[in-house]
Amino acid sequence: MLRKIIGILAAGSLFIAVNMWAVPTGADILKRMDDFQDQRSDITCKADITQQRVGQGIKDLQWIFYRKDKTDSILIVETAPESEKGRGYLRVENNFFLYLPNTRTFQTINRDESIGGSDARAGDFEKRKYSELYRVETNAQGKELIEEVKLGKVSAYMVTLVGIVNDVTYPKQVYWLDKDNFFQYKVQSYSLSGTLMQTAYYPKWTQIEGKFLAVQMIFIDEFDKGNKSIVELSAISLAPLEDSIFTKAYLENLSK
Amino acid sequence: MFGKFLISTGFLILTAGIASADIAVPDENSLFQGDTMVDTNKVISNAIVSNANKSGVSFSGSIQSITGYNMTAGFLKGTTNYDQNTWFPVTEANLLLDVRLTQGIKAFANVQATYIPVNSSAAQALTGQAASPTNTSTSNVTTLNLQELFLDANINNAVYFRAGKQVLQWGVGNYWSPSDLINIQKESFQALSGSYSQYIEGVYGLKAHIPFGTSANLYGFVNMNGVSEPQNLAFSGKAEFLINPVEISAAIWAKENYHPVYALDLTTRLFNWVDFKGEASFADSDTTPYYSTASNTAAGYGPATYNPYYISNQLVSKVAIGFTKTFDWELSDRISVTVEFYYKSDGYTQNYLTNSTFLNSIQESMFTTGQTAYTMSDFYAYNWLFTGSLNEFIDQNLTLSVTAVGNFVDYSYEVGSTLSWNPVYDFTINLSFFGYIGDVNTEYTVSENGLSAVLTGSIVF
Repeated sequence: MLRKIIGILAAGSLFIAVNMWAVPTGADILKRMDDFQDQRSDITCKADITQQRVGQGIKDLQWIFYRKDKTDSILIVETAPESEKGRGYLRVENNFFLYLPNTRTFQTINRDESIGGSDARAGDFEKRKYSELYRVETNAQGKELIEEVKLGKVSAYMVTLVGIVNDVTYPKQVYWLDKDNFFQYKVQSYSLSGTLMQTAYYPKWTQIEGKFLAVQMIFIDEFDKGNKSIVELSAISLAPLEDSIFTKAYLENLSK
Repeated sequence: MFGKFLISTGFLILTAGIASADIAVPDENSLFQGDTMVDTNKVISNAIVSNANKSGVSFSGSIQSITGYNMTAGFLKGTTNYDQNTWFPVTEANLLLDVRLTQGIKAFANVQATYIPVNSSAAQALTGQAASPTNTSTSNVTTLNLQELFLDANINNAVYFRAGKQVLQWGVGNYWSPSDLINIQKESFQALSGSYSQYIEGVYGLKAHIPFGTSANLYGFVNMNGVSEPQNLAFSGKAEFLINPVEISAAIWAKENYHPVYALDLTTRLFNWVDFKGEASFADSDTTPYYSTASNTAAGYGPATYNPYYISNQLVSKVAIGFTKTFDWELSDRISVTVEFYYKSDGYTQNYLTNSTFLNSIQESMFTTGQTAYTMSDFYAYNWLFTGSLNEFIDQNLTLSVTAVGNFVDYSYEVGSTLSWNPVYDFTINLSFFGYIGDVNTEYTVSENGLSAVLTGSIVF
């Protein structure tokens, strides 16, 4: 879940609207996805997360995200519930730290470690192009598997991406992309064994300063059936951020 | 019977509450029936959202109930009956107060209340509370302790200050941390194994922190703990550098009439495969009393009493290195394994605990001075630690962990296993077993320890 949120906020899913008049090729799609990643900006927002785990009930969480484009820096701090307030993540370039308020320590997180027990890995925050990680799956005749489908009332391309390197989080992902502007409406992620691990929906989008951003995300855990999360973004600002936000001292000060 | 009724009823109510709660997610056709665009004005903000500029007062905390039962080695072998066994019930509550003004100015307090219904030394050892010599074995003990109480302020987000009683943990080790020159309380092995949660008690002083992005950090700390005269203040400084992919720091501790202590630590990724943490401290003295073993006679047992002395004008080095590797098993990082090794140059290299005179000497020293040459896991020169955990063990809300600590001198060790279950959010039940394995009178069996079972229930709020 966190990986997807970061994907939206950090990996640059601030989409520029693009019109596609013909069925694109796999190369076109990967290029569009890479182009979107380059559309970056400083961003701050609040994420309200409603999380359900089977047997445990429902929990409401709140995070604040900060991202500075120029220094490729990210700060995430948990602000609710009160019992978890203050836990935070700081990333500057490829250096990733986790702050644990209970022990008052920073831990270094390496690129293949998960973030907060989620499916996000530190490596997901790196600027890596889709075209360097994936290719579009082909059938026995070598034809790329790109279909025009309906998702509710929305017309979309369904495209299957398979990993071409070993260190992708999911070796296979199926995307439902808006036909007109390439919004990611739905993503299904599969493990190496072909098990469906997660289905993600992005049903609500907004436009800020000419860029598009998903503001509602729904994550269905297909491995542990019944677990799901809804994420809603608000208080979004694209105002420039100070360098002084992205330090260990600032994060520790935010914490309780 | 009534207790069982209450428990089962409460559980049913709880379960019913959980079962009825469910996030409603429409099917995907319904999700994409309407307009997918949201009015920008509903989600945009003119100001940067931040809890750094949000003032308020908030409380949080935790309550945990710990019940343990210690069985002696003799009881396990059938040579003694159960009257040598002890139980240790403890209830501990931590109340955390967070007072926040704007501009990063804030105050924080962590008050810990502990109630022990019997004056059990095992319970006191577990909680870190001092034994009360005036209490009989049937008296209860209630303590109230300030774990932390401090104020935070900063100068334009460039220099950060923290004044008061605070936990300032230097060093990177998982269990042994010789470069932690400040803390007086260390994490217990039981807490490390996940048996219960432990808030470390802070040290009173003033900290300054100057960050230079994430590439460098300078820290200073003036330790005022128990200091009645300014000349007795202790000073610590640390410089930390990030030279990707290595984070390295150097620190010094100094106090009048004491020998300075120097420390280094380093974390990095080795071969892009395993995490490495290493740290070391160097001084020409040690604050741990040492008992000479040189005077032992040919018979093996020397004077009637061994006298402690403090090593001075002799290099004392302490080094800890650790490796951590996580493994995926359907889920990211489902399995985690850590091994750590610890060397202290003034640690004992032979087992003198079989010498009853030596053993009596260090035990008497502990009761008379409160200082001892014997601290479990910090006695010998060569030591090791293993921790492993498996998430989603059998059930997605169950975690299994196995932890062991031992030495390479008498080859005794303690091994613990904890099952941690989260039946609902913020409520955890832990069941742990700790076994003490080795010959008689070795590092981990010297107190006739055999097996401990610990059951902990905790909530956070």
